[in-house]
Amino acid sequence: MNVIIVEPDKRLASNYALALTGHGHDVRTATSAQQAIHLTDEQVPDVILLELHLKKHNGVEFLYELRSYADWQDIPVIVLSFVQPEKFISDESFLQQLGVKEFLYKPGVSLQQVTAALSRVVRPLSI
Amino acid sequence: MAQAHHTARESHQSNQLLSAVAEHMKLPLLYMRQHAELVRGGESFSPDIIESAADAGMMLVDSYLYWQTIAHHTEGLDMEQASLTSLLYDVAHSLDKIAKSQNAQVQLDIYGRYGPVMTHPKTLHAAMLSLGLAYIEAVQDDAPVVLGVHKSRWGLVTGVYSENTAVTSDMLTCAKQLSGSARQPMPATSHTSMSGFIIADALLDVLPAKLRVAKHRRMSGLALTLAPNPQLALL
Repeated sequence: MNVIIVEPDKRLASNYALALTGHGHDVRTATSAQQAIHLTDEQVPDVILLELHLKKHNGVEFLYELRSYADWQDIPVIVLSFVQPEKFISDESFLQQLGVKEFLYKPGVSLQQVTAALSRVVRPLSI
Repeated sequence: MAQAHHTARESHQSNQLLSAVAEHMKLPLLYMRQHAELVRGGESFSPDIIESAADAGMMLVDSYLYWQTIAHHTEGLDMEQASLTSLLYDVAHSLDKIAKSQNAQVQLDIYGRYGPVMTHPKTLHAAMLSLGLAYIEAVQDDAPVVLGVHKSRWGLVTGVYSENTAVTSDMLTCAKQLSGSARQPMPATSHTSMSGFIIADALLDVLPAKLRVAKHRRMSGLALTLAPNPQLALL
């Protein structure tokens, strides 16, 4: 699976990347929304792991930008944030409309659980 | 009545700072848990990152606890002579390892030679350390975090600066209002809680001094001005 991790903290990004590559995923990391758009443009990922707290342009702005391109409408996004979902936004459907499949509270999930979320969100195609 | 108002304000500030520190502490604790998980999975790591994350967390906790002890000094802190150069050198030394573990670098830029200033060295040291920690987290790349001193019309300006973080007065005001309640009080500058900045601001408030937006060479940052002491200048 081709994964883009949008994570401003390089140490955390490195940990997530290590865990995911260990499970055979192809991982690229971006520390900003702008860099993530650039990486998506280079090669469309199967899934994006997104921290909402980014420097300059936040995760929601990134989602709006991403969904403004027809080709990128269906890329599944997993939000992985330090903010508890209920604190971030009262209306969860707002994020769902922007293509967020899961909202994970960072301190509450292990690397194993992040890997499992990826498998839930991007199921292999059945023939 | 005035005393009650003062206590309520102090209690609010204490809660605000504690929230900021607690929010910050999630980060080093998460590194540690993730590293434990990766090591269990067979990865091998240098312990430096974990050590530095723990050090940075403990420095912030210590600064908060120190603020708790001095915040009640209504009669004011006992000022003494201190050399800014040696104080900043000491702060830079304490921050160096933490900065390296985050691919940042701490530099000293002391422009000119200065005599001693009257300050409360321990409080100023804790404030500069906290501010430096906030900047290291905000920068997180090869751009240096600079501890600098320069002279202005009003005195010696000392602060923490960076090339790639442009703080404005509005951002600073907004961040102070949001501190303790928002995870990211300075979104244009940092993705972090900037708790170091919030603690530095509280410490300087006791000094008393004001943290302001300042320029140093071509860099932007946060600094305070220490009024020159004509008597000390003669020493």
